[in-house]
Amino acid sequence: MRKSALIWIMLAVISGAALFHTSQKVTDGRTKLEAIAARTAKESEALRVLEAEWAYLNQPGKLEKLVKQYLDLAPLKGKQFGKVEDFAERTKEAIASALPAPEAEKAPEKPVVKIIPAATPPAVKPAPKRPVEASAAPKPVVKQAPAPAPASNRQFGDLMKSLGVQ
Amino acid sequence: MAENHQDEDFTGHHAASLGTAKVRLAMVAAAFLLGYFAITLRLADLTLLSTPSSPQLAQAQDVRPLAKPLRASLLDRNGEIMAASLAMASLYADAGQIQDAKATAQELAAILSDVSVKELETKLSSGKHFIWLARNITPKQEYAINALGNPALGFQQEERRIYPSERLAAHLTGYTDVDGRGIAGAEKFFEKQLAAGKEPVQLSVDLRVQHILHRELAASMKTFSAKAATGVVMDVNSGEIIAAVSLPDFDPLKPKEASDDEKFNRLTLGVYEMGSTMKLFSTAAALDSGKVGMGAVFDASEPIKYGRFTINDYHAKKRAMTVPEIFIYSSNIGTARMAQALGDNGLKDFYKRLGFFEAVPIELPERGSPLYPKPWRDISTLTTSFGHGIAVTALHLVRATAALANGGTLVVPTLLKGKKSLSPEPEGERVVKPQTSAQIRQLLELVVASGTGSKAGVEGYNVGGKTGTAEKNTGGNYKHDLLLSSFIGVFPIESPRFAVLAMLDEPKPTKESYGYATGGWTAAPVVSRVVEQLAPLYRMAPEEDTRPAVLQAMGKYMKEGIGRASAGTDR
Repeated sequence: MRKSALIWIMLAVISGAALFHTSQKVTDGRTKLEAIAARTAKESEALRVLEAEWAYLNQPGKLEKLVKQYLDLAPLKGKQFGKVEDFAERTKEAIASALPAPEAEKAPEKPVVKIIPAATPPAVKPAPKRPVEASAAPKPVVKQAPAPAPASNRQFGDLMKSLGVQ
Repeated sequence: MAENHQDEDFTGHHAASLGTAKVRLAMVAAAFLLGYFAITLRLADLTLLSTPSSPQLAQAQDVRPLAKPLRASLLDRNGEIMAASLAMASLYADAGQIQDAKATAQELAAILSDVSVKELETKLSSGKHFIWLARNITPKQEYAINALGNPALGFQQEERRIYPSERLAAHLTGYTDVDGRGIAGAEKFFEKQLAAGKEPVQLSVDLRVQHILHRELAASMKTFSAKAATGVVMDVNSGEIIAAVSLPDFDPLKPKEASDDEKFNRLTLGVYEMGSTMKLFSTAAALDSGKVGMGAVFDASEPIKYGRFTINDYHAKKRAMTVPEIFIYSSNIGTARMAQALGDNGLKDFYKRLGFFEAVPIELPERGSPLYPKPWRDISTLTTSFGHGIAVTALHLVRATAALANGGTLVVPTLLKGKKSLSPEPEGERVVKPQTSAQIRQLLELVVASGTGSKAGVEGYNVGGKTGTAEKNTGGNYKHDLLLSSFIGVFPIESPRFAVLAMLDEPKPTKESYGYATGGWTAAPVVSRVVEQLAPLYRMAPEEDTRPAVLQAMGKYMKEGIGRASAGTDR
């Protein structure tokens, strides 16, 4: 009887302590949760403000002014579109004759990318005129941009080859 | 001591039970001791060890949160914000608790730049328990005021509607009142959805295109000293409004500062006698009826006299003309004769089918009802065929043009972004046969290739369109020098995707336009510049010029050959 009473009391104390501990934990958890919820609300509110500011700063009219002032970029024009077929034909016929000298010396040694800065516009300027006349004006694209043609032609030709386009 | 007292009481009587009691007491005492020890520990923990939780409590104290969720945002078709609500703090004071009104007023005035010390001092010394000091202050100001640590000051979170794109789309978004309720534009139309605060409303508008249209219209308005201007870009297949501008406009953030003229929506509320652009529809009615073919000839040698009315041409050819000739020379007489050939109610029924007799369906509360002759007499058919005596909104015009261009389906214009991609198969009522639509497209391209709309041409893109120059009717008289000049364009004309309208109200001629203020000189270049920028933006590759082909196909109907009509002769 006495022993069992002792056990019961001990159990009661232990469970009481456990209950107290748990309820404390719950209170703590709730406080933490509230704090986190408040912080989340604050952050999402800050996010809203930032998004609105971003939208304000990204007004097309504002960007346009800034681009004009600081950059050499311009909106895309219809003229700048090209067709893949045009380029493919150009590579086939024009490339071989367009770059006669540099190809023999440098091509086998160095990667193609390195050639581009080396081929300065004044040095190769007369070159592109030949293929245009010879191949009876293959495509208008060549005529429009004679200066950068050799370098980009070469690069593009290799790209096309690697893609399996003839 | 309690134990000794008990000890004396029970000695001798129940020695055995005394022992039991002692043990019990010791146990109870132990339990209490344990309890006290726990409390002591917890106390030490709260007071000495756990400091981090305390600042949070202090911070959260004096801001009263919002009662309802924030109003949902309005987005453009790319997700850019057109209107959003922010919770901003407003400052109030309990004047009864203020100790030194003068000092506090000075402190606050230093932080709040736009309130005077005097004003604050009167408020602070009023003794009222609740008084507003400043509404919608910035987070920086809020922080500075918090730092003052004055317990008599408090903040209330308030909702503020902002429009990051400012005046760019003011007539589309509309605006809200002080309580955040939508009272114009999409804000009013979508009030329920926006107030619920859950999902943002995504509009069909593309702010980039909106900017292009806005910029070009404003520039043209300035060049020709016009009173007002309107423009629309619509997807002819889905009916989505990609851009829509009404000038002059206003800042939706400050609707109170805007004049009624600025707030007036010229797109969907204002109705106008459109003039020659209406010939597009009377011609379509004639071609679709089957009674009139492209080669049909109408006598335009003499003005038509009807009662007290005389219908005349501005640049009379004084001869018989074919349908394409009437169209590109914009002959009133020829068009009226063509409409006559349709029979009694032919044109009226066609206009009705195009939706010209009712307000245009669009997600805006501002919708103007067209004006048309009631009752419809014989003369009405003649005058409305070239746009006199019938007034519709700019959106009516664009919608009907889209129907003629897209193969003949009257789509429902919408401000909401569709679930499908741009330019799906058009859905709606069929109003003309596909062949008629093809013929109209040819005529539209002919106008740009050879006629009055040549200034709408764009390198690399094939645009078709029709000019319109209406004399404004003020008090029953048409004023020769008060014009409403417009151009409605469609592109790419072979399989149209967009319809573009530009309209200028009372443009004045300039030296550069050789004294003309007609649609061909003022509005057509706007459409050209918009198309030039819009097409690459939507990744539309340039096409081969189809103008020579159209000129050749239409050449057989042209007595004088091609290329005679100039941009000034489009009345």
